[in-house]
Amino acid sequence: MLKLFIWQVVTGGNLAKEAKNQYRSGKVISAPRGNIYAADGSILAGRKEAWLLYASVPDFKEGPPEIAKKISPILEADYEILKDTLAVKGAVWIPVTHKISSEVKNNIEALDIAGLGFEPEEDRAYPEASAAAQLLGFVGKNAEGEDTGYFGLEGYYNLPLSGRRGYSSTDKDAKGNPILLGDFQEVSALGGVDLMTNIDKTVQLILEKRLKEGIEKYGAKGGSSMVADPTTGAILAMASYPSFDPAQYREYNDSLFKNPAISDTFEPGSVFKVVVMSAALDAGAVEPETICDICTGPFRVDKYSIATWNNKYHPDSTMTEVIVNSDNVGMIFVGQKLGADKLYDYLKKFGFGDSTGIDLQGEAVPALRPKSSWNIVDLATASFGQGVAITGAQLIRAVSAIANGGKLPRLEVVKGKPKLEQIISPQTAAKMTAMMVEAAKNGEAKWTNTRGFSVAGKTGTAQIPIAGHYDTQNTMASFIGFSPANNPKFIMLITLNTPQSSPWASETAAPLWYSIAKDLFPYFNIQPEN
Amino acid sequence: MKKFKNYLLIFVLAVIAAANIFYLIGISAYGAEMSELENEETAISGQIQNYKEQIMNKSSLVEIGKKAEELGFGKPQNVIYVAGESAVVAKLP
Repeated sequence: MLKLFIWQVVTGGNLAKEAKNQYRSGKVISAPRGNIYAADGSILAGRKEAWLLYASVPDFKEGPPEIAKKISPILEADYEILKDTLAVKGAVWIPVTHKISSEVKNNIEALDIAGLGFEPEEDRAYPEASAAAQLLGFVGKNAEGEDTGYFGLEGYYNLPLSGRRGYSSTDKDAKGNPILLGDFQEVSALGGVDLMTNIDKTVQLILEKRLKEGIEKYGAKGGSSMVADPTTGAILAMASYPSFDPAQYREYNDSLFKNPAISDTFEPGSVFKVVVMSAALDAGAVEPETICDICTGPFRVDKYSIATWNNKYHPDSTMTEVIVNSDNVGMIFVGQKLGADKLYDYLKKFGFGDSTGIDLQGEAVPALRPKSSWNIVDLATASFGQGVAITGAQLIRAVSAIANGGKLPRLEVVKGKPKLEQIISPQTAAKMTAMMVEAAKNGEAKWTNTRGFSVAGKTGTAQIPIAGHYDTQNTMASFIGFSPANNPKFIMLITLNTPQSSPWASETAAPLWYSIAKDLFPYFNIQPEN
Repeated sequence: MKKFKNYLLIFVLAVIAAANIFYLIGISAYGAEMSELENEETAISGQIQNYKEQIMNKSSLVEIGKKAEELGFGKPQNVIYVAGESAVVAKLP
């Protein structure tokens, strides 16, 4: 009677809790991560079956050293670490390895080791391997050990892709079967949303392949490229090299994870001239036929003498010729006609100093110097693309406005409603486009121009600023262009970092642009003009 | 009469108790069945996931490209554009 009293009254509460722990079972219901689709509906990032290998210590029929010896070769794990993991004192249930493949699971199951079991997990698969790696990002672990997206789309859309985990708790009998009359609670898991992107896999793979070939051919340290639809701002492809495989991200250096097209800032050089010239045309400061009356030789601004890139001068050049010859002195003329205040306002209108709105994690937004701090040297150098830091994404967005009748698009990787803003008049955009067509046909990159096709483009060879001065050896070579000029199907930017075969964009970035465009013309059904 | 009522009550209670026992046994069996169904559902979900994974991998353009190359397909080296008037190469009588 006394014992019964102790069980019922004195220790009753604790015993009831212990009993509840024995028959109550709870588990987290994982939420499947959303897929990322290309524009054609195929998968760029998807779910893959994986398994958690766990050890139930009370069910062991062999010692941890024996088990570790058997499974370490299959898991490709260190024997000592595995043995110590399995022999943790007091542990009953040990998670041994997360996210093992079905093949590894089958091999371990074949060994029939008592006490080892598997629970389904989810892993991320990237069927196109390293293609679009910086654009997609990858899924790693956060501080709590939970799957988390980093960089690119995985990082930007991590929350909606992740969904919400659920939880279920139920009473179970001695055999582990649920007791239907027992207590049952469940909060359902909510799967992550799928993302439908604008990415065109064919264009993406062309870009990846050609960019890699180009970087090797011109001996560049690296490079990046983007193809977009200038009428909507849809990003069709984005590639950088060197790159990484998002499924094996642990094996790569962290520096490869960021996307140079949106994260690296650079001084654009001559490609920027099209933006400054558009601003001057729109403000009525110049017309395509306006004559440059300072283009006779090097031009002195404060204590600096500014020369042309090839030390050749073209007196009485028209503005079209200034663009065709990529004339720095001519651009100083344009800058002076426009004035620092108006130039600043137009740069803001073109989106410089602001985010492009691109839905990728890691976008850099280099600030424009405050309007009040611009002096005559700043105005002069900015006119030909020096002393202004921008990203590739900002540049392709700004030039898209020229290609798109003056409407500035918001860059979008995931399909959405295009957001456009009229920043210059359609007439200005048409004039600038005509100047860019002339630049492509008769500029310094004319030798590489694909005859017959309507292309508006501009080269840019920029010096690289280092520790307060410019690198005298290395350059950043770029080419931006769109085609067909008057009804563009695509706009493409190529940027090569420190090409070795030649420092000039006309001999590196431009021929690479045209070699990619040659593949894109038939794909976009672009016919020659004649 | 009173005795009969007592017997009837005992009988009814016994029937209810027996029904309850059978019901509980039945429910307990359903628990095992439910557990089996849950396992089956997990296995089928795994299979579905596996098929989806196979479709995903087989539709990879990188893989298709490799396969096409193995089969001898190549990309066109020179694209020739034919003008509209020259498109017709033969006319039937």
